[in-house]
Amino acid sequence: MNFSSDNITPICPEILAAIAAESDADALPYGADDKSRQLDEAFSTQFGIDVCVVPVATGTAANVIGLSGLVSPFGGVVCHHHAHINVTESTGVAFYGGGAKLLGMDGPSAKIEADALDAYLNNHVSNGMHSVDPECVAITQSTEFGTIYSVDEIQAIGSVCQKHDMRLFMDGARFANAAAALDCHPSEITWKAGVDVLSFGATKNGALAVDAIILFDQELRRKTEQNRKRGGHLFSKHRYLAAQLLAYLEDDLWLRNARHANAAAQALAKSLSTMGAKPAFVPQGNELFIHMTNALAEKLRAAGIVFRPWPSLGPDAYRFVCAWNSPIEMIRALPETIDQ
Amino acid sequence: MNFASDNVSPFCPEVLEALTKEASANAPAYGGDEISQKLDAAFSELFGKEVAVIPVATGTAANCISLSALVSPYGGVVCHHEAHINEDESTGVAFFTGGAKLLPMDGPAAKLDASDLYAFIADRVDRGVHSVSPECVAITQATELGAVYSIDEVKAIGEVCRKHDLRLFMDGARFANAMAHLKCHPADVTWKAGVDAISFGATKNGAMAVDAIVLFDSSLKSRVEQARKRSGHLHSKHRYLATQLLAYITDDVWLKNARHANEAAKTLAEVLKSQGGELAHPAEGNELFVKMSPQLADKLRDAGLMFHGWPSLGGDVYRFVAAWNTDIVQITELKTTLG
Repeated sequence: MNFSSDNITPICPEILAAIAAESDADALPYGADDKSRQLDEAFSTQFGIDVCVVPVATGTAANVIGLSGLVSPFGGVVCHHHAHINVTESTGVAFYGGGAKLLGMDGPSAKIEADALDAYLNNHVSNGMHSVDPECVAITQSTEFGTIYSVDEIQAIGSVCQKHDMRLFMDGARFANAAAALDCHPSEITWKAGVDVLSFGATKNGALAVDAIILFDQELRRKTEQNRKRGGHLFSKHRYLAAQLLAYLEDDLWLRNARHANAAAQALAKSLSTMGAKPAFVPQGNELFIHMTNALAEKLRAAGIVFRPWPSLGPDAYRFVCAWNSPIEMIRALPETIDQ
Repeated sequence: MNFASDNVSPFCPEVLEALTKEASANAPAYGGDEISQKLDAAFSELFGKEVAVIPVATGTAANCISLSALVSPYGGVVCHHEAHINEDESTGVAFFTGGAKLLPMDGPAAKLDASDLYAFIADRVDRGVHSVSPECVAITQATELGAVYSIDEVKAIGEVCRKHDLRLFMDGARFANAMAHLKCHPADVTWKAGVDAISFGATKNGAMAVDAIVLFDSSLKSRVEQARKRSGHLHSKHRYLATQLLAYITDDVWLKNARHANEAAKTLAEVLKSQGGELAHPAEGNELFVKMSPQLADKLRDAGLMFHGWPSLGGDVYRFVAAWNTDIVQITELKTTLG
């Protein structure tokens, strides 16, 4: 069983079928086809507000292009120091932001706390053009440590942003896992809480390669589309991005896949606890961070279980990621299987 | 029939089959999977030389990321003014290179001519930090106007580049169509002629979304991989890029598809000529540029044909692009339909 990441998973059957259905007829390129033209409406229905959808093939592209509409080349983006944009996307934000700087702050379980954010922004000393002034806050839902901001927590962050005239961006690579866990309307943790732009992940949760930039502020559309084009992210056969996204929304596939992944993570947490592991945080989404002994780690590896150490949480910390296709029954049976 | 572009076509059956095969098992991410690991060897065999392959999902990304390794932020890239990088990729080259400038020149059928190129470079006055000095030449094979550089033509350009210490890049969005026309070894018009890097197109010719940056100079690899990552073009599920590319070059699918597209274009050229159309220049790949009267254009549109006007060649010039799936029988039947 491989828990090294959710991006090791293949495409799910519904999305493969949607792609395969686009294999006969010709269609207009660059987003002028029928499928692509349904995107804005489909996502507007999903979010309960008129949105613009700009799909790209990777999560990094969705984040850095999404942010490029929200920050000037001489501005700063406040994020958690464990944020994917800070740790795992090279210099992508500066590249698309024309130099914009990431301003990392701390917080429990990779979450930014509203009070701490307010203090951080209050304490920031602006030296005019000599300093980098924050213009935008970026949060990740679910976080990089598998925890989930509650509706209240995001609303509080949104209020701080409003008070300080900051834009609010959400990295939603695992947004589905958060929405599934919170069981709330997606609007509650996005535009109603003040989020301007969301990268709505699909790749990790059953798609082949597509994450959608969702603009709650329609004025950002032109800038975002221009940046997508000049960044080489506008697909000529755009219908293949759109077909994936439409299938992902249809019949709540995105939530069904995420619920499965989350349930698998809960089952895994239980199985590993039985075997002596201790969760680093209460797992809420599809990622599990645990502390365990070398002996247990070796035992799991010997049983063919793949996972990664997570040194930033300590030498005895490890990450396990579940996905839409994780075998839940086998996970439940792990304590017995391994002790045999 | 839609001749607006070759990117209106869907993916071909071989590519779909390859994608479908990757729908059940897990695989390592970011190129660590088995299929991705085969790419370098497969393309090294195809080109008869050790190459590094860096796949991306779009042709613009393949062009701009490649060029970012071949030119400095204060350097220039000489290209034809019709070049896709100059006309259709926004400010992508400047973005990826950190400011490098395109230096466009003229030439017949969107080709750079080696002696003109020599003169263009020799005539430039270098004013040190104040001017933009050419560091790289970019050519397109097949060209944006459907012409194909011969082996000798590419070699002659390669010579000029060597003489002036310039890098040579090839935009190969329609490289397959050029190869199907030339019927030579791919090495003859690339590294043997001095090409440092090529964007090897697949999207227009039967793939879903993949073009490969093929580096003949392996020392460029680390830089190109970094540029790909920072620009968000590294796919986590990298196997889906790789599997498209392998299916594309296995059993010469790329050439088979391109031969079909080229033949469809030739057939269409005959039909259009019989109706009074006139080719702006010989059609060698899958694109036709045709001079015709507004009456004929209307007649074709009435018969259900889609195509674009091409004003840069004149108010009476139109572009027709055939693809791997163009129905050749339907084209021959056009003759009867049109009368």
